[in-house]
Amino acid sequence: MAASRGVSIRTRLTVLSVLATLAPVGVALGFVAERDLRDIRSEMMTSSTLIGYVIAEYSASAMAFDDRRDAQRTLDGLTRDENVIAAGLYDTGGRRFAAYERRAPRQPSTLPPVITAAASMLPAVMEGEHVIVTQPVVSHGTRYGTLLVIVSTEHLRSRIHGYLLSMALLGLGALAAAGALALMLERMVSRPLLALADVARRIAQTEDYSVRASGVSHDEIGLLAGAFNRMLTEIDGRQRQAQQAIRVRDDFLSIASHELKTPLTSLKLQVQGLLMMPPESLSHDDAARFKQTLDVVDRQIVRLDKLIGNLLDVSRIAAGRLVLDPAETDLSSLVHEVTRQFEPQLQRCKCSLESRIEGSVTGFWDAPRIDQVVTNLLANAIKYGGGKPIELSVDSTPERARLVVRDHGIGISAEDQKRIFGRFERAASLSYGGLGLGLFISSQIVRAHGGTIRVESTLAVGSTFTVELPRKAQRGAAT
Amino acid sequence: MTAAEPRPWVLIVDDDEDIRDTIRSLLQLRGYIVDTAPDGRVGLERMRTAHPPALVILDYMMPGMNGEEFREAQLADPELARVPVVLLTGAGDVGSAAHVDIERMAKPIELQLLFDTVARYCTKGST
Repeated sequence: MAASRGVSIRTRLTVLSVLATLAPVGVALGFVAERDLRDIRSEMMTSSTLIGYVIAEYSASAMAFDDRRDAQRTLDGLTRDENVIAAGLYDTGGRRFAAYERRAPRQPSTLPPVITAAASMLPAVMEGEHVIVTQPVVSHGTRYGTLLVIVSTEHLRSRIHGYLLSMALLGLGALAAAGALALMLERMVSRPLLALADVARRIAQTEDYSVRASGVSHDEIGLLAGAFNRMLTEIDGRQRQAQQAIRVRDDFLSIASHELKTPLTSLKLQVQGLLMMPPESLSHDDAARFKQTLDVVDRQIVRLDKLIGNLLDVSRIAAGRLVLDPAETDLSSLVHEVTRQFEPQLQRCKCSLESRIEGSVTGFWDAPRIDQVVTNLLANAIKYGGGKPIELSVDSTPERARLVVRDHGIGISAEDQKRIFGRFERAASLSYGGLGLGLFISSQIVRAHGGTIRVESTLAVGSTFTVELPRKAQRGAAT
Repeated sequence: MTAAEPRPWVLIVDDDEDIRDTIRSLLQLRGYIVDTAPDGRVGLERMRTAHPPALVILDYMMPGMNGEEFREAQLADPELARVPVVLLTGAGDVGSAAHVDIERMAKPIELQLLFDTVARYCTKGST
């Protein structure tokens, strides 16, 4: 049963058709042949016995009067029965009295020159290709000798050959019929199934759910194809709905981004305009206060902008739409630029930054996104660094670029280290502020680049974040 | 610059009145000649009635004719096709403006970046 699982429907149908056609025909023919051959055999035995009886009757007087010529004449009468090959009359001593033989000139005699008494006692028997009849020759109660008749079974054998030939022809016919039947069944069953499988395979390859199984018949396979097509219609519909939902969500993200950033734009420009070109009427003290106030407003705008950016990024990541726009990027100069932007903040919190940055570490990355990662790690190091020195390094191997940011601040417990890269997760207490999105977004950006981000940390000792980015795409682009 | 040469000017196309007016007043304070349009259609009209501007600052998402459609119409007009355009985008709009292959400034704009960008394309109107 298990072995038959690997056999195709086509082969199974052919085998079944051959068996179904051949078996009844073979059995019927065998039955008829057996009956017929048994009848012929019994008929031959009867007729041979009868011939023996008649010839023995006719030969009795010739033997009684020792008239060999008359006995020979009687035996020669057997010429008319072509089945009789030979016949011999033997006297009571077993010596041949007269003989008749139908044979070609050089063919050896089938008739024994003498017979034993035992042989003469046997009835008609079939021996090899002959029926041998032994009949006592008796007249008025006196036995004068024995008649031996040899009858050919050629007739029976040719009938058997005929049957065998018929059976072979029938077998061939049955095979041809079975082949045709299998082909028909295959057209009916196997081909529509293969066509259905072909449609499924094409859909798997092209993801085009508008394809349908064609030529749906009204039989069971047609029902299957119909159900298959209905399922495709359903999937197609859902696929379109899903695509529509993605379009709606993308539009929403785009509009949300625009709507949230538009008020910030004029606010920021106005504030920066005032900072750059303050009213000339202000006294020196008022001008200083004016600048201080607007600096705070400007920082808060930047903060609000980053929060909006983070929320939109989280929506994009959740929707699987974090799209990278990679280009040849120098990580070293990018990190220099970020640290330069952090200078005022570092001064405010009075913490020093030690940088060890390789001259140039290029790769094929999305620069604004990598900027986001570096900014996030550095901002965290300042935020949780407790004013202690921060170390930052950039180095590389031919395959990878590595960024390490180390602080000596509050640290992260082993348990918290496992979850800080998750969405809305944060290890520090709520008093530190923030949405808990920075590391999540950073890790997603790094992962989207095919890189890794990891943390080593001890509570109250500090944390080290290591980002590794593959440079492969850059090498690929260079060749 | 000869006296006969028309004075270069900047066109701001944005549907948000506050942004339009803020950028205009800031650029004017810096000595630029500025005109504004509330949508792409009016923007194209302004470009055609006057001599072409030295720079167009174009918002991407606007009702009526958006930034992309404005750009298409502008490129189709040989008189206007050479005018440089800087696109204002909500930073990282999901791919929507990705195929408009021109310089862009992400909102909210840094004032210094705005001044630097305008200075690259446009000499000041007043001396």
